[in-house]
This record gives sequence, structure tokens and C-alpha cells, in this order.
Amino acid sequence: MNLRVKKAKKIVLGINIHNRKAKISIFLHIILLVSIFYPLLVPKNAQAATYAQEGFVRFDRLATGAAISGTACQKTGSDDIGTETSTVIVFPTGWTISQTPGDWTVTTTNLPTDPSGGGAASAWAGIGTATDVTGLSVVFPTSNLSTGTFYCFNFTGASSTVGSAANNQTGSLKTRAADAVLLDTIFYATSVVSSGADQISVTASVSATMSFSLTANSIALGTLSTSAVTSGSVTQEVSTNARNGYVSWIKGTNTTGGSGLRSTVAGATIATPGSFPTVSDLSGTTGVVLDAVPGTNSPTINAGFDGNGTSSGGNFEGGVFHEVSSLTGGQAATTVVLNVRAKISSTQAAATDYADTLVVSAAGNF
Amino acid sequence: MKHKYILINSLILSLLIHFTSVAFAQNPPSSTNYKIVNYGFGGGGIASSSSTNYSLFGTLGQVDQGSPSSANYFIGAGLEFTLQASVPATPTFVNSSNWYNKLKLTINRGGNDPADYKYAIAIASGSGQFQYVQNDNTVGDALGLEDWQTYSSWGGASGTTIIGLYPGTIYTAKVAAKQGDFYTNLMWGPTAQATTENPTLIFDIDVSPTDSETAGPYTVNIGNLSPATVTAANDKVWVDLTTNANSGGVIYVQGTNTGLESQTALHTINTVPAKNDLGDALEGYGAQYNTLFATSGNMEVVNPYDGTGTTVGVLDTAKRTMFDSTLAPVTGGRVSFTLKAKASNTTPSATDYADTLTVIATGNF
Repeated sequence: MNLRVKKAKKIVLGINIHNRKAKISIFLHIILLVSIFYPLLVPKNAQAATYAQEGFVRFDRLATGAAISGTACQKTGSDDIGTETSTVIVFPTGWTISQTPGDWTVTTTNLPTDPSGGGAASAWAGIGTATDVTGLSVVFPTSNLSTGTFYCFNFTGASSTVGSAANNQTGSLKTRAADAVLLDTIFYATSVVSSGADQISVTASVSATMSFSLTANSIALGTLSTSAVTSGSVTQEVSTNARNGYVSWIKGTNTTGGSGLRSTVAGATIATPGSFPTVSDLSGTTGVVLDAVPGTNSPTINAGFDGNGTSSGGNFEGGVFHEVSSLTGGQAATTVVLNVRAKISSTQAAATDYADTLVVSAAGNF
Repeated sequence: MKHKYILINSLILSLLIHFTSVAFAQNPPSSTNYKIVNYGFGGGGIASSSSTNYSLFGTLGQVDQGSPSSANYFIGAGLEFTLQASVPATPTFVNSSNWYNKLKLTINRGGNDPADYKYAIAIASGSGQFQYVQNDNTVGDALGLEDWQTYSSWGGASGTTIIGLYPGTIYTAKVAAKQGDFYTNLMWGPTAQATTENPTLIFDIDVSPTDSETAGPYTVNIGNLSPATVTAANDKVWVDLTTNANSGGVIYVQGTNTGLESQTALHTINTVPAKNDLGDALEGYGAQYNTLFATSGNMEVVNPYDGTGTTVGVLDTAKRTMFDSTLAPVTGGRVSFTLKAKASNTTPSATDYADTLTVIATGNF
């Protein structure tokens, strides 16, 4: 009869306890349950052994699923309560905590200031990579902590993530002496929001801008000389927020009788010598040239227009744009002085209408 | 024969008592350290006797054991009981303000308690054994003489705060009193109970032009930045904070970049250094507080985010303290801040200027 009752119990439990492995399994499960609930069953003393003046565990992220990292701080009390040998961070229930001690690394740089008083933090004495992990408790090695000192350390837990979203999730920060004797305990609470809800994406845009101007739209060279170089100029100015800067170009209009200053009355042209990008010096020749001189922000001048600043310059071809200047990056009132220089030969037909129209263009390289 | 033996024994016993009495009368007890000169049995006592140098209490017919009592009364007996201080009434034992590691106890002394009464406080958690409140308001195993304190030393009518307690725990406390040097640890007063709360921290973010609840993911578009003009985002960032942390709560803000970064333009509109007026800067980016509110307690903005007009504080990759609850618990804290930026004439054009702010809150427990 007794045997039948025992057998019935075995069936109810659904376990064949004749099996040796099953017996061991049941025994281990009982040990596990007892170890879990033992702290709840045993009355505790009234004191929580909180001697620290303050303390906190500041997590870098408060969103569910985020990787766990943060900073633990404690301002020790005024009494020496013992020689610390380890520090334990107990994480809130439901968080995923790597059980590999080597996954829990620490640093002591960029530590926060003391919220109460603003003093600089001291590196947590003797802190190092975790030596033990049990459930939610990660144990770090520690050296003796001085009294009345604000200590901090940063921790990072690989393969560990913040738990589900909820307010008032509690844990503790403990210091222990040898043989895991508890010295001090700070209880903390944190809040976890939904995935990504602890971050704000900030956006802005900047529209493309470009401005271009010439200080004048005519250059009156006057009566040209056969011995001296006559010059006149306008200045171009460019502003743009094109990230790759700007480029400016120039071309002549006249193509009749070659490029240069054309007189319809005389039916003659004061030609621009040579060909782009050759620079000609009117000291030794005649014609009309364009000499670009860099101004504000020192833009780059194309070699074909890079004269000597007094008598030389380049060929400005009628109907064909050639690059005059350029500069990378945003431009704020970048200027180039466009000098037109001319000198005639003694046989140049007399006329008062020698003229050409130079077209200057610029663009931002966005 | 039997009667003969009895007679002889009685005679021997009588002689023994007689000679012993004589011997004691002639040779009182003594040693190298003391000698009793005389002694005898008195016929009674007096209530008290005193001079300028001494005071004696006397009693007669003292009960040596047993005290009539029930659940509602206790009658003590003897000199010891007569000299005991009154048993204090039930103390006022409360959790004044969502405390998680301390409770307030106020001694309710009787109206006739002399000023030199001293009190001790015992406390237990749950079904645990009683311990004693030390004179530094912590809890310890021993009740030392220094832990007996006067009513005023225990805070008088304002009470005293017992610290270092477990969170989320029911505590039972009781008080004993004594006067002068006469004390036996016999009569603790009736008990009172109070409960510590668990540490709390409530945190939430909202993004909205006005004070309203919104759901993530959160985006603040500052908009198109015009050269030489400070642009403020229409949406504001609202942060909720409630905590019972003794030293208050802190709200931190941390950027991912050192400013608004464009991947296409390969340019960053840098954050202002510390605190700066964007109106005077060629370009920049930062935050400025907007509103402060708390149902109870206080929220305050921290420098450099306390600027006005176009003055903003830094937003970089460091965790920056933007708000705190003035080192005290706060309920219903809600604060907001605005993001502002300015581009220069040469700030490269792009539509992807961006930063990611992480907002976190911590209680300093």
C-alpha cells in the first residue's frame, strides 16, 4: 500500500526518481530554490550598513536593449568601516548580465564631479576587471578606500543589456572586506525607457548660397601709348558656402580680327598676344592682356592670367571662357583684381572706339 | 535506644549553635581587606534618610519576585520599580517623505517627565531582533550609556531621523526611559511601526513645442539655418524626473558629435565652447533651458545652460549636467530646453547636419 502511494507521488511529479541523475537533479533544484529564497526567509537586522555619504550608479543609456555601461560613485563616510577588498554592483532584476567576469572592464578617466559640492572624483582605489559574476551581481577588485572621499569608476559590460522599460528599477552598490564581509551598501533606483527613447535626433540644414559682383562694369583705358603699358581694372567678389569653393572664368567677346580690342571705325583690332595660357609681357611687345591679381582670401590665379602685376598678362580669348581664379571651401568676399593692360604699336590705327566686352562668370562648387 | 540517640544529637546541635553565636559575637567576620565590627537584625526601616553628603532610600517588605500583570497593565514591586522612570508612550514613528533608508521617530514623553530623563530607542526590521539607535542616529547592536539621550538630544518635538535602514522594509520601534543612575532594561514602551520605501527614479523624455506627452523616437529639427541668424528649434525637449534620492536627481545631456555634423559636406557646426552668445559667433550650436517645474521639491538649471536670448551652453560628447533637483528629492520635476544654432556665410550647405543627444537621469542616493 505504501509502495502504491509512493508510486502515485512519483507520477504526479512526473519524474522517475529511480533514476540516479534525476535524483541529483531534484537535489540540485532544491538547493537552488533554497539559495534563492534563503535571504527572504531569514530575518535581517535593522541596519542596512549604509555609511557612505552618497552614491549613485549612472548608466550611459536608459533605453531597453542598450548595452550596459556607466559610472559608479560613492562618497565614503567619515568613519573607517574596514578594509575594502571588493566592490559589487547589483543590477536591476531582468537585466541581461554577462556571467563572464572578463566581460566587465573598468576605466577611471573622465570621472564626474561630486554632485554635492562639485569636487573632483578620485579613481576608485584598486578597481579592475571583474573577478566574479553571480546572477545580477558583478564583483570588482578594490583596495582600501579612504574616509570622506568621492570615488568613481567607469564600467562596461560586454554582452550585457539594459532590461525592459519601467520606472523605479532598483539595485545596489556594495563594498566588501575580505571573505566577502559586507561593509557598505547604497541602494539605487533607475528608470528604463523604450528602445531609443533616451535619445533625440537633432537635424538641421543649410541652404546653398552664392553671391558674385564686380566693382564696375567698364574700364576706360584712355589713350593708349606705344611706349608705356596702360592699365585699368575692376574687382570681382565671390561669397559662397559651397563646400568645395568657387571657380571664376573670363572670356572676351570680340573675335573679329582676332581677340582683343576692336574698333569698328578703324576696322582694326588691338589683339591679345599669344594664346592661352601663355603670359605675355607688354614691356617687350604690344597688345592687350588680362592680369588677375589675388585680393581678399588670396584665391588661386590661373597661370594663364597670372601676370607680374605691372606689365604682363594673359590672352583673353573671344568667345571662350578660361578659368581665372579659384579657391576651395566657403568663401566670404573673396576678391580678385582683373587688370586689363594694353600697349599699342606705332602703326595701330587711330580710333576712339577700341573696345571689347569681357564676360566674367563664377560658380560655387557644392 | 532510638530516643537516646535523638537526645544526644539535639544536645550537640544546641551546643554548636550556642558556641557559634558566641564566637561570631566575639569574632565578627573579617579578612585582610574588611572587618564587620557589628551587625544584627533590625526591626524595620525608614522611608529615607539623608544629609548634605548622602541620601538613602529605604523600603520595607519588598517583594522579591513576581509582578501582577496582564496585557493592559503591569504592577511593579519593590524599590527598583519605585525608582524606575515612567514607561514612555508609543513613539510617533513615520516615513516623512518617501524615504528609503531613514525614518523619523518622535518620543512622546509623559507630561510629568523630568527634564533629566534619558531615553533609548530600540528598532527592529520585520521579524528581526531589536537593535538600538546609536547617538549618531545609526543602528547598532549595542546600547551604550552614550545612546541614552535626553528628549532634546533626540530632537525634542521635532523628532530624530534614524538612518542607515533597508529600503522597502517595515520597522518596529519602541522607547525606554531612565532617570539618573537607576535603570533596569525592563520596561520598553509600546511599539510603533513605519515603513521605508524603495528607492525611486522616474524619467521620461518628450519632444513638443508645448508641454505635452509624446512618444519616441524623438527628433528635433532646428530647420534651415540662415547665415548670420540664430535659429531656435520650434520643438522643445521636455524631461520628467521624480526621485526620492536623498541627495537629489541630476539630468545629463550628451551629444554624439562635437556639434551638428554633415557627412556630405564634411563639416561640423561646432558647439559653442562652454557658454557663449550665438549672436556674437560666426556659427555655433548649443542648448538653453526653457522651463522649470516641480510638484514638490525644486528643479534648477545648471550653468552654462541658464543663458537668455541667444546665449547657449555647450553640447559635446561629454555628459553635461543640465538640470538638478537642488540636492534634494523631487516629485513631478519637469524641465525643458531649446536647441539653437547659427550658420555662417561660409558654412557649407547641406541637408544632413545632425547630432544625437542622449538624455539620462540619475538619483544620488
